[in-house]
Amino acid sequence: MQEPDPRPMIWTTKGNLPIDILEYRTEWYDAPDDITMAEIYTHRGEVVRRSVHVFKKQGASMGADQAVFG
Amino acid sequence: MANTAAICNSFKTELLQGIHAFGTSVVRAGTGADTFKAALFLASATLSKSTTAYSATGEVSGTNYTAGGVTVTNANAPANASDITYWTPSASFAWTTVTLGTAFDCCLLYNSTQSNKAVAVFTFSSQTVTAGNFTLTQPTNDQTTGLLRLS
Repeated sequence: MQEPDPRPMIWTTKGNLPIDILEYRTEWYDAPDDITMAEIYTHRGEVVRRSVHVFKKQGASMGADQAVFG
Repeated sequence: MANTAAICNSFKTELLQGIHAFGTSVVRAGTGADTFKAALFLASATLSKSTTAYSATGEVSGTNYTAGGVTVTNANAPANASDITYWTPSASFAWTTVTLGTAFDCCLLYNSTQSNKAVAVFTFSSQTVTAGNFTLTQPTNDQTTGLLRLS
């Protein structure tokens, strides 16, 4: 029976791969309404995992207008 | 002492609580909050202020993504400060271990209790996800940045 790989693994397009064989980088984008951080794992130049985290800086607002008599 | 014309702050909050009905309303099953959901839409979709209800047309699809999106965590009651009523979900919208290969840039917040009626359309920078997670973190729940604000 084969021993399980003791190295930390991470799920990718190629199944679970040891993290230490992957290249990891982050990309940040600061837009007017949101900040985005992408976590990218590549294996031999191929993207095998890409997670994205978006932070909304603010939501939507609506105004209430009131009629004036006279 | 003088009178000051205004739309009452309490009324703004009560709108978000479903207290007032100037037109035909619905029979509510109870006094609890409705269930809201959030779904993701492709950058090529055409959601806007004219969207009236959730539809799967233009929704993202891919591994581990369920049509209709995720249930919104709602532990925040509508509140009012500085004459602005606001409400924000109490947790991020999160999709785990998904593959969404076609660019998406939109999230629809809708009321699944009330026939999937639309609440708001939110956009963000166009994204794809590969065997990973997508998280939409909510803004600070206050009168300046809350996800829904009624002034």
